[in-house]
Amino acid sequence: MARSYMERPKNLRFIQTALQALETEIHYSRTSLPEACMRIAKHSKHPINTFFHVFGENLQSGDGLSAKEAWDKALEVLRDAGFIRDDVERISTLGNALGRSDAEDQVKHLVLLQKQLAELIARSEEEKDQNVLLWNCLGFCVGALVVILLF
Amino acid sequence: MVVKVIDSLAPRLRNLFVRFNAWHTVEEIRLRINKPIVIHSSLGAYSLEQHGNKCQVAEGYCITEDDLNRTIGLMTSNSWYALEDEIRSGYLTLPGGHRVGLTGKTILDKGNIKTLKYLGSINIRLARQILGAADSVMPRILRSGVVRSTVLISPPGCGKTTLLRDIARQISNCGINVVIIDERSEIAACHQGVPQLDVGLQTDVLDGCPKASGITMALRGMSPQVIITDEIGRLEDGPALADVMRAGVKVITSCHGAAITALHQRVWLKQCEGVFEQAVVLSRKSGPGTIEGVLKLNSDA
Repeated sequence: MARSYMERPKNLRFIQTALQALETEIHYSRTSLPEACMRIAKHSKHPINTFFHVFGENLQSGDGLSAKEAWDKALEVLRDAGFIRDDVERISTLGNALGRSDAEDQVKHLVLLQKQLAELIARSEEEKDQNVLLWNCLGFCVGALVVILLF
Repeated sequence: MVVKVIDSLAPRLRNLFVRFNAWHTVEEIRLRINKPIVIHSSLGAYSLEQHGNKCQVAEGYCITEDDLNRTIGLMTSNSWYALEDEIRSGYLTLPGGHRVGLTGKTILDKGNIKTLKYLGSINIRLARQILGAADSVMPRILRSGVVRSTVLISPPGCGKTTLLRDIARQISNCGINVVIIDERSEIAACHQGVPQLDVGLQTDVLDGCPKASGITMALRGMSPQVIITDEIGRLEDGPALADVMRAGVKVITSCHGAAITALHQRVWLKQCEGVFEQAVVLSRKSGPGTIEGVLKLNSDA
């Protein structure tokens, strides 16, 4: 339990870094989404690398998926990796905008999500501090109780 | 070549073409929201009903907004921003050189087109290389190793680009250095800078380059003997062509118009008088690329 509280801000930070990289790819080199995603996948940490890899593959599948559909499908990776519902929903909003406008507009959407993620990170850090301590204490107490009962 | 066009269509439209076997005749595929799909071929216009059988245009499968959006998504790799300049100009080039014209709601910024939104229709023009398309006109253009500056005049769809491509190939294969200024990536159909169609052994291509700047670049750096470019007609093209003439380089180009009279009214032409030695007028009378006549212009220039 304590571990999931510790993982959340770390994972959100990884997503934030990846979005920053995507922003750079779009703003400076006008790299197409599938190519940019594959590049980001190479330089990201688990599970973000898998997420961007799957998103890039969905876009290249040739099935005519829209960016929104490809993004939503890839979000499964984050759910499986233990992302909480609120975070996944926040990240999913970007799917509506991705790829559908000029670079200036794309950057605006990416910056907005990064800011929203920063808020989530701050909140999750607070929760982590409170809950990790609580669960660690609880773990210690239960352990101590078992020892007392045994002897 | 054609396989790539099908790959760019939305899955539902791709299904219409599963049993389609007349690709060699297709010139254009037009998709308009809530209107039947229209295929323009050398045999005339027709449509496909929902099972893919040929039918009258009015009875054809109606394109939905979803069909069009998915098709555009595939053509742009869902990356509209990566093709801003092309979209602003109203067209995209697919791998293989096929050109896609776009119409929709234009978004303006200080009077200039910023982008297109809410696409309403697209027109896919299939690029097709016809080796030998220029055979009949070549004796007029290349005489005893000397190229004559030529302008090809015709209405749209008469094979100007096909002819220019084959002229480039034939001149270049005769050992003459050719530079193609391919503003719309139609002549050489470059993908990442490499021509996808045969434009000859000694041809260099400036892909996606505005004609006037391209002409200057080519003259400075590539020492061409012949410059080939498509659809001349902007005001700045005139002075650039005059530069070509001063450099002693020959130029072969094309221009919209039904007859030679159309040429006389062009402002750009007045600024580069004497550049062209002859004009070739094309029509579709016996299929695309029919030569109506060759006219001498300023023969002693």
